[in-house]
Amino acid sequence: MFKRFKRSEHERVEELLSAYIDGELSIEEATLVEKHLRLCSACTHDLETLRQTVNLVRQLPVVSLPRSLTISHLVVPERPRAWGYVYLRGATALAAFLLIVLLAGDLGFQYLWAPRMAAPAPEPMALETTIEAPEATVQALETTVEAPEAEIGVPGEAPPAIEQMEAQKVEETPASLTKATPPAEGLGAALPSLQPTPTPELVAAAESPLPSPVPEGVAYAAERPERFLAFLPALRLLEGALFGAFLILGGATALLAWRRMVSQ
Amino acid sequence: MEEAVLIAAARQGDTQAFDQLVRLYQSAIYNVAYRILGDEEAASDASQDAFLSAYKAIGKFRGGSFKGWLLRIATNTCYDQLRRKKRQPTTSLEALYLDTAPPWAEDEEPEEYALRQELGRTIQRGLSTLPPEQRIVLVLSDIQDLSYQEIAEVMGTSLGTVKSRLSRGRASLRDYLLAQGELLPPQYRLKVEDRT
Repeated sequence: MFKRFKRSEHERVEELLSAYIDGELSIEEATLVEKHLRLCSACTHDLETLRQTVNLVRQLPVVSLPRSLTISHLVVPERPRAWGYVYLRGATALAAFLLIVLLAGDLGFQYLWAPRMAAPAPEPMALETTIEAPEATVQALETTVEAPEAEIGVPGEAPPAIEQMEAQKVEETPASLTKATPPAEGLGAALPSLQPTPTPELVAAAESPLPSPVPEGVAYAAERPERFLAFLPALRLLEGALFGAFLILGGATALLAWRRMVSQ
Repeated sequence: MEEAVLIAAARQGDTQAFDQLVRLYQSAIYNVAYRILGDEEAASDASQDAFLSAYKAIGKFRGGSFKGWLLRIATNTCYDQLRRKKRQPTTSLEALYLDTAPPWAEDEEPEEYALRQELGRTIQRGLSTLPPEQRIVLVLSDIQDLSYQEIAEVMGTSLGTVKSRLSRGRASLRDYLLAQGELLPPQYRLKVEDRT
């Protein structure tokens, strides 16, 4: 127990010797060290060699400077921030960017989008089906338009069906044979019942003024380039204005940059 | 001109005023860098970098010891350089052996001069064996003669840390010098025969 305490004190004093040399110990620590040193020759030796080491280091001479360490020749004097130049440069870049975007959009539309819209090339199968349908409608319409004419025929000439009916009427009512009913009247009465009942499809086809041979979807898409074309002059004007602005701003920026470079 | 006036002028971007501050402290800063790095070229580069950093950061100087503030920047610069060197160990200890020792007092006898030169080299090699933190504390204490409190402020550590680093650093250097005993001039040899 005693030995362990002594060893611990020895280690502690060893650690305190450096600060003891510098007089940086508290009174209690200094007292402990001095008391221990009277008994421990190893610590006395350590203190002595440590002191010699410190003295040797302290004797190291001052090293002369190989060169001056002044900094004025290394420091580039800070120029006041030229905000005008910064804004001008930004505006030039913005004008250039907008011009590029507009031109790219314009050219892209003219050479890539518009031709495709104007002459659509859908798949062959789809084209057949879409084109056949209106033809059928037109044919159907023609029949409906022709039908009344055929049925009305030349006035005075009763159609065969009417003649038959009239014949039946004559047979049924022989008394009325004397009163020859003019065929036109009979036709007029019979017409409504004889008019063919139009199917809903035919009605729809007849109502549409002029069925377009171009499918509906294609027609809608084809309108878009035309709409765009309406804006084309304004777009060209804007492009021209932007180009002008870019030239003026770019020139001013280049001039300022050159002046800054010269003044440096 | 007074230091405070020079600092105020330097804050306004007056490089000439800052140069006057550099002239006041360049020797101290260079000597610290030289003892920490052990190489003339590296020390002058590190010192120059430290002064340049100080000039750029002078707006952040909040009063107190200007020398202490400069030493803090310089030791940090040296510490960074040592860490870089550790990552890229291209410089061998041989470089330290080839270092030309700093010139000594001109009125010295040639023999005495040679002996002290040898001692200087041995101590410098001993310093270079220490970990950077211990080396910096030892240089600030025994070469720059800073108090423990000043060292703690320069290094941004506690007094206890300074004490323990200095104690271990000195003990390691002592052991190194004892081991090099035969190489040292007799009058500079540490007395090992007293040990019983």
